[in-house]
Amino acid sequence: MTDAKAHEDRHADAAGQGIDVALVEEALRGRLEAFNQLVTRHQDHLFGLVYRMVPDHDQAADAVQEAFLSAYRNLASFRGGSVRSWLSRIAINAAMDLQRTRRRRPSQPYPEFEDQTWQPAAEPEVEPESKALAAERSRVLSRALADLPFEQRNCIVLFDVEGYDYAEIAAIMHVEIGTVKSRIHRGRLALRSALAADRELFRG
Amino acid sequence: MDPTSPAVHAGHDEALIARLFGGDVSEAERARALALVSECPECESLLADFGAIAKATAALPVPPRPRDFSLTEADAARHRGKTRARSRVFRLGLRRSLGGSLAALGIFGLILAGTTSILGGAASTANGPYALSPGRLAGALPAASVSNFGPASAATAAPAATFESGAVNPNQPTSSAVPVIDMASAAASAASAPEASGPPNLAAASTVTAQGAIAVGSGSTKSTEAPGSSSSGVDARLVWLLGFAALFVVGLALAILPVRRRGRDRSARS
Repeated sequence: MTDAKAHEDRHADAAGQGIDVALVEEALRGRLEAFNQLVTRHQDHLFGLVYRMVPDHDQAADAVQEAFLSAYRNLASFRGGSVRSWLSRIAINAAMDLQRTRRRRPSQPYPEFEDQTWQPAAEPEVEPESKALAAERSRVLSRALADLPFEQRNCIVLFDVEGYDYAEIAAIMHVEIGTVKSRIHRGRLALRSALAADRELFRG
Repeated sequence: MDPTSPAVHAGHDEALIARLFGGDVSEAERARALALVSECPECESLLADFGAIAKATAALPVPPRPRDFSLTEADAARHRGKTRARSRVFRLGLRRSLGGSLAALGIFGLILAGTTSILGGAASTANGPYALSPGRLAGALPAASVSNFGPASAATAAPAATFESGAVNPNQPTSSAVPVIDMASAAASAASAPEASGPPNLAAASTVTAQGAIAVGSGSTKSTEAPGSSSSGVDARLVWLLGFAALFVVGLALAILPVRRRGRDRSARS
């Protein structure tokens, strides 16, 4: 059953990649609608990725918009392979540029964590207690992640959420593989320390 | 001591457990980490927490995107134009900055070469009567004496200049004072040797031994430069001057020409 599901997923991925590459070719011929179809297909994923790296709604949106504009400008530099990965790398670079700018000109801390309105709507059968628990877990984890140095946060997001391996992250971030490993391990220990008081939220 | 007590856990390597979770351990480290996890409840809890936190991070909800990121026709036109304009501006800017740099280098070189020409007389005087270069003394001194000049010339790029500064400040406790004395005494011993031909510079050197370094600085006044060397120095300076002038003109042309061309383009368009 699981094998059949995995096979279906792989098939869907391959078909999706084929569509993406065809859209890129169309966009290269000057069809803006083709590029906007690519935007529609990937904008949710890119916003989710960037939001985890830059936990500020507006800044994450700006970074994603910049990433799509950059992708449009540099369509000719796409060398085949996965369009999703290509776009993700552009978005990661846009997010890192934003983080560097923030570091040079620190302004307000990320303001989103007190805002509960964006919690996903729970299934009707989910008990209110579980829903509250999940919301609280997300809140404390988001805050702990935001308090990490952004290099550690980026590495953890790319490793745990995006599923990149150490070498891929090192290539994306232009650092040594040992640096990536060190950032991830230190980040995990820091996260665990930050969440020590709320450990029960993550058990069970 | 109880291996399960928190005090014992304090000595355990938590980074090793983090590396075990990340699959970043060698076989030996893996065995060591697994032993810790199986023996120490704190280490076991640490590993479980890493798993729970990673799982929760991956499942972290993301707020809905605030807008559609599709590009409008205006965006597309602006960015297509921007790419073209950027490359044109880059070429223009590169040419201008290159031209400016060359012109600046040229003018700097002209000033430097000009200043050297004006001060050239003094410089050549300094290099003239007081220069005790090994080459100049080689003909006059026995081989053993000439070898004494090795360290002196190696220690300073311009032995004559060192000589002068040593003369002005006799108390200067620098290492360059040592070769000066070596040179003077060597020259003096050479001058007292029967086969010394006694050119003016050696005479000056013998004065050093008798009266000290200050006497050398103000003593000998005869120039020992060969007549041809002075004119070849002027030629070299002239070449440098011309070279820098050419650099300045080329740089100026590079920096100015694009502006004129743009002006011409604008007028052509109008």
